Amino acid sequence: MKKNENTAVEFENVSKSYKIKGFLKNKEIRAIDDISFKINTGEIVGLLGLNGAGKTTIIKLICGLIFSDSGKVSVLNSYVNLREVGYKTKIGYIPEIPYFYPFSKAIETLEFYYSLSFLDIDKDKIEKTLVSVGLGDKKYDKIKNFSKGMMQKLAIACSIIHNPQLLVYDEPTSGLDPLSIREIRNIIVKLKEEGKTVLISSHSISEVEKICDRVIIIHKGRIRKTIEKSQWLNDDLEKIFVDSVSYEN
Amino acid sequence: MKIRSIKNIAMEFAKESTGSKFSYIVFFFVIILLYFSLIISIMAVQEEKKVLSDFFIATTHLSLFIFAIFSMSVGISSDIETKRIYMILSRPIKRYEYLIARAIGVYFSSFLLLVLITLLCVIIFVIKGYFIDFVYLRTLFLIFIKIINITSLTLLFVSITSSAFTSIAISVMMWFVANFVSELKFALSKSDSFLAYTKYFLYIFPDFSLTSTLWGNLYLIIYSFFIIILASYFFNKMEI
Repeated sequence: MKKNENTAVEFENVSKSYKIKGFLKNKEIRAIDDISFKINTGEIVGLLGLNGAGKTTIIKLICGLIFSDSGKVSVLNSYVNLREVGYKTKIGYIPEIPYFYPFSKAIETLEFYYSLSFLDIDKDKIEKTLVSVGLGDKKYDKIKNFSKGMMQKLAIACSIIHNPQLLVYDEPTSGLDPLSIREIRNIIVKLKEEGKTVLISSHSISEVEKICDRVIIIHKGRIRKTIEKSQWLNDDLEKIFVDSVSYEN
Repeated sequence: MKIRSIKNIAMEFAKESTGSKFSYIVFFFVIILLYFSLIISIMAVQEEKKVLSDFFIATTHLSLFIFAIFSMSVGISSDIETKRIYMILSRPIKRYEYLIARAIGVYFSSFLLLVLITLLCVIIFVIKGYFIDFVYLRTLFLIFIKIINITSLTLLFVSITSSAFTSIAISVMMWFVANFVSELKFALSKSDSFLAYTKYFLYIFPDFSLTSTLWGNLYLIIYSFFIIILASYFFNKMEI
């Protein structure tokens, strides 16, 4: 189905619950509840919320790792379902804590993820991507010797190696030192300048206010507020966030 | 189905399982068992070749079984635990393709281990002045068919439970039952009580005694194929 070309991601009344297996009865936990929003192409959008707010669930739904109970999720003009994986050639994803086989070299890991997008190995492109994330001199190093910041940079390299249109990053700066955070932030800003759409989930207010064009505040599985950059330039984003998550329904 | 992607993932998994610490432990275990085989064969005097062959077959069988079920169950469950599966499935890979790639990766690495153990056994045979006969090679082939079968079952159990420990435990149980299915069926057919009816229950288990015939091997391959389809069904339903 043809949708708006300017829309990268669209959620229409999406709900998702997780079943927790019990001894006699399964318990159901609602992760997101009747969520609707749009992300336009070329913008950096931040998902801001406390732990357990539903940020990762939204990201998993976009990447087709889980599927909604009700409502529709469309990514780059394709509805997300179990059978549809073609749109995934156009997205790049990083989980909160990326894991790589520790005995592989950085270049081998990148070759592996590159090959998963049906592309013939292009050594030159792989090396250039490693250089672009600051791992040019570490390409033959084993991942077991990598720091957390280097792992995150390698994850970013894996997410952009196939030249995707949409980048979905789950807490990309979580647990990093200030210097690594700055480097990752600069890479993300550069990706935006290249015309990529970026969705970042975070619970760090300072991070999202530095790089995002728009912020969606999520609390207890519901969208509490959507704020444009111009709004938090006038008002403090932290105050807006605290006010949004402080009141109960 | 994207054959190239499946091949790439399978080769990556095979590389990981052959390079894992566990594969070195299994190999060390093989060396120890082969060493014991040599010691025991000294006592066999005239039956040395037969004793060596029997011990080599048993070593191959046991080590392949341990390696294969462990690689299959731990591989998938650790992919889920470390969230690495997210990075793979966020690519244009369907869940069943991931599962098939995992299975092929384990079959391939088990085959490499089989070749390595056989090579060691051949060296010992040659040093002792014996030659490997056709029956020995045929037995190795039959062992490999059983390994394909039991690892497919492990794939099914890990797709249902996502727990490495549970899937290994059930696989070991299945392995024991599968080796004695024909005997159990025979015993139940002689029973006059209600137990006789439970023999139909045994048809859900693979029957390893059938590997002596061509049709039996074909049955085990088809059985494995259906088990992989069933595993794909459960894996699609799994909340990862």
